[in-house]
Amino acid sequence: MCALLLGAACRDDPRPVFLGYAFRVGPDPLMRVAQDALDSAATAGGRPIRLFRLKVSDAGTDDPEIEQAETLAGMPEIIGVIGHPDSRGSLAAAAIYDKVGVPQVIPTATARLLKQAGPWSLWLAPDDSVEAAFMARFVSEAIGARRVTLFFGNNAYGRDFRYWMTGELAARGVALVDEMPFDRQSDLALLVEASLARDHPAALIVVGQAYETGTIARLVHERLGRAIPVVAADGALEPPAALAAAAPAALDSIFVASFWTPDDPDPVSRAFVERFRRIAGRDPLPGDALGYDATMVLAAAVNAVGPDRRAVRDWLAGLGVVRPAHQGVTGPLRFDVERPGPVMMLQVRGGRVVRVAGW
Amino acid sequence: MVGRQRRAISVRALLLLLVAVGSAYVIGLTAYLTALQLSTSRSELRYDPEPTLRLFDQLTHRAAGLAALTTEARRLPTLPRDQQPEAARRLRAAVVETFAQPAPDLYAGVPYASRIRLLEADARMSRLETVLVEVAALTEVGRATAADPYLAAADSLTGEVTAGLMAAHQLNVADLIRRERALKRVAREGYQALLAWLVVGIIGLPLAILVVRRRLGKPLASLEEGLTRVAEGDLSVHLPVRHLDEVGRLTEHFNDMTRVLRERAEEQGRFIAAGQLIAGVAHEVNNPLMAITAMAQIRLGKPDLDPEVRDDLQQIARQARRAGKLVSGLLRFVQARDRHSRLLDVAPVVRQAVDLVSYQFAVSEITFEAELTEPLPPVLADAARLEQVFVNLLSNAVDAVRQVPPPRRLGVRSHVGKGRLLIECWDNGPGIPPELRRRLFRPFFTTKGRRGTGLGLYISRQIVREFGGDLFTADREGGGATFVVALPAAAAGEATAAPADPPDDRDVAATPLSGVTVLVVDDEDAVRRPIAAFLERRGAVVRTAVNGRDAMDQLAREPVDVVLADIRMPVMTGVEMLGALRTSNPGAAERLLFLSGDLTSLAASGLPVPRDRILLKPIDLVEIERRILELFELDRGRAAMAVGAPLTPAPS
Repeated sequence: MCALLLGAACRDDPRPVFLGYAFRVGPDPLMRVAQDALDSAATAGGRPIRLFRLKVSDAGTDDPEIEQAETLAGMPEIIGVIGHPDSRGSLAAAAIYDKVGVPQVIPTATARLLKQAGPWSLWLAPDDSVEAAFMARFVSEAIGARRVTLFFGNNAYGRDFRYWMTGELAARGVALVDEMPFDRQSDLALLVEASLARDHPAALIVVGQAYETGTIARLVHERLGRAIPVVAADGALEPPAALAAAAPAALDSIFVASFWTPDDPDPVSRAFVERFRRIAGRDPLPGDALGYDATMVLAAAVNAVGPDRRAVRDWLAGLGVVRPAHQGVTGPLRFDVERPGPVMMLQVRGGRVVRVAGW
Repeated sequence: MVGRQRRAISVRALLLLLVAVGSAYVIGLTAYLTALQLSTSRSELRYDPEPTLRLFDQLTHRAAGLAALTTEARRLPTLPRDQQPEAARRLRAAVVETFAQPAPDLYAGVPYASRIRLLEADARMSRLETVLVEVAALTEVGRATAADPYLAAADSLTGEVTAGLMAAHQLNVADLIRRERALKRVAREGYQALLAWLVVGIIGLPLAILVVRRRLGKPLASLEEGLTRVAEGDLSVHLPVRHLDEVGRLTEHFNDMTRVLRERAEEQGRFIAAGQLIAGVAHEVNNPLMAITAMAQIRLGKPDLDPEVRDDLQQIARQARRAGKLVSGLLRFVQARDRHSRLLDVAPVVRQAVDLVSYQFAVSEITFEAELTEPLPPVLADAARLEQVFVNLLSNAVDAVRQVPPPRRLGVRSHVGKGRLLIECWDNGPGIPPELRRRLFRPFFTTKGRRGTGLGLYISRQIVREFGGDLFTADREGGGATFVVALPAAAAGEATAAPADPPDDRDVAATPLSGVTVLVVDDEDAVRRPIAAFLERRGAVVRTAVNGRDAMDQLAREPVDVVLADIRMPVMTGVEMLGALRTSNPGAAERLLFLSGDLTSLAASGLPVPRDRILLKPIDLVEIERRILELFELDRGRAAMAVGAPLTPAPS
């Protein structure tokens, strides 16, 4: 079912260290960028590190995340894993990595349940509750909306987000006039029509991917004849082009929560953006930055303590505690305290992601 | 020893082996029952069924809730139109309410086949939830009649969910059945394995006990029995040696020691018998010697002797005395006596020991050298036992020098210093190899093979140590061996000296015994006659008797001043005569002197005879005269003090 695919060509070094790459399944320029950075580090005297990615065939695969985790955990050459792409996958894989003892650095998953995933799972992004709180604050304070409707994907990500968002909105006195779950087969037009038939909100909160967020924004815009603010969770930028294509007229009214932007002036961030542009030919997304940070902090641990799973995990857990935090693209990386939440709202303008607000 | 000795693993190795086998058995049993069986169980059970069952329960509950909501959704079109929006909103709210709590992901740990079915059911239920929301949405916007395809889809999804859950359930049941069978099989195999282990243990334990009994128990019991028999005096014990292991070697040592003890006992028996024989022979030899001495002295007393005859007679007397001394020494050495330490001069003891072994010097071409710087300081010791030590050392020296060609030399040398008297006994034999020196004084160590008991030096050292001294070896320049007897020197005092030979030249005309009546009692005429003649010549009135009865008869008729009696006589011995006199004539009993060639018979009689009344044959006639005078003067003194005493000295 699964075939082992070498993620990057091995160099002549007979004893490279391997890291499992389970962040994204399809074509992913980030992996090439990260491998390029690892090769540069090796050339500069670091340990040769190779990224492995499992190619998961579509046929007969019941749960690709679990399949990947079981395979990677069973390979003793794999010292650590970057991934998985979402909360559900990361949670499912965490149980396996925790049982075997494989350090897993999770780039973008935000489910609060990750806190219970076990000592071998370390995540970079703040959890859903933090992002939900930030979005509720933005809705309440920046937009000033007192009545909102929540559209959320009927999956682990959307349900978990909805759980925290309802609480945050209530705490800020923002009325949740309607809640509408959807999936990829849903008739979004029907759902938008029904929701608007119930009430007209001052703003929409959408927890979904780029296409779904853009479509809902466009349908609302069309039905009301005007655009209302659409505050979307971080998944709406995956990818930004899909968001722009789905809601070309309402793009200006869509705000996407994020904690990193390519125009971050930090030197580490600038170097990453330049490397990414050189290799991928486009600007990196926040998810790319987190994936890159997850890869590089894991590589730093391997370089520091060698190819030993427990030692790598302990080194990572000691960041910011017994050793300085690792300086990543998205800021200082440490795993002992919860990461600060999103500090900015982004918009897609002219095909590029730009920062429009932040605290 | 015994012919059927087998080379065998040592007892220590055997015990270690048994402990190792026992430990391996226990550890193996434990390891098998825990690690192997448990790992087998784990491999058979493969995974924990709890996550599957928990997920199945969760999805079943969710499916049940969705089934109820689906029923509600199907009722929506049948409701009055004005009630439909509100009912739709309630339905949608109910669907959303199912998301109220975030649920942890439960798919980890669920086996592959079940996971596929449950994931499919989960996806179908999520889709069903959305379809129900869409049905509600249609109703809310007034298009409930268009909900039929959605409801059909909902029915289809419900069926798929049910089918998926059923399939998962069947898998779970099949898995549980397989687990139960696997557990039963593992348990059965475990019982069988345990039984096999127990059988091995049941067979192995008696085997181990049998081995220990054969190799350790029986030999030790045999050894203990042998020791008990030896302790009870049975030296004929010889234990079989079955295995050449530690116990076998112990048994061999036991047999060797028992043999040495047995030989020693036999030797002692022979020694005692020889002593008794010597004592008997001594009497028979001493009487002729006494006669020879007396005859020679009688003849020497004649003034008109030819000088050549005189020289011959003097030589006869001297050689007779020498023979007498040798016999006395032999008697002294073999007779058992009470241990009695006293201050003594060691020089005569050494000389007496030399006398006993000196007969070998001429035959073996041995030159003896004595360097005793007299007077030696006295030491507190038992003369006889100390003599035994020197005889042993000198005998060893003789044996040693015999191993080398002439010139063969041995000797004794004395040193005094630091409050100790050192007597060295040296020889120019082959010497003592250094590796043997440490073992030299151990019991049963001998270099003489079966000729030696291995006890001589051991006993000698014990004797010397009893006297506060020590016996040790010393290096000797020029080879050979040197043994040193070191004794603490006592404070200067009067040490007992050996009697010196009496001079042969005396005033033959004197009559010191004038006025003394002496009864000489001896069955041998050759002894009796020259003594009587000598005493008469010295002025005494002499009567003679041939045995004790004869003497008793004469004493009954006429008293005498002194009775000089042999001990071993026919009819009535001297000792019997003493007993009779103590009853019938106590005064005469007090004036009785004994002549004896054998003290053992006197000791065996049990009579308390004062030692100073016994004159050992052969004795110089002058000494007899002195003792008679001594006794006579003593009795006369008593008579003077006791008025009316029966004793009346004869007028001179």
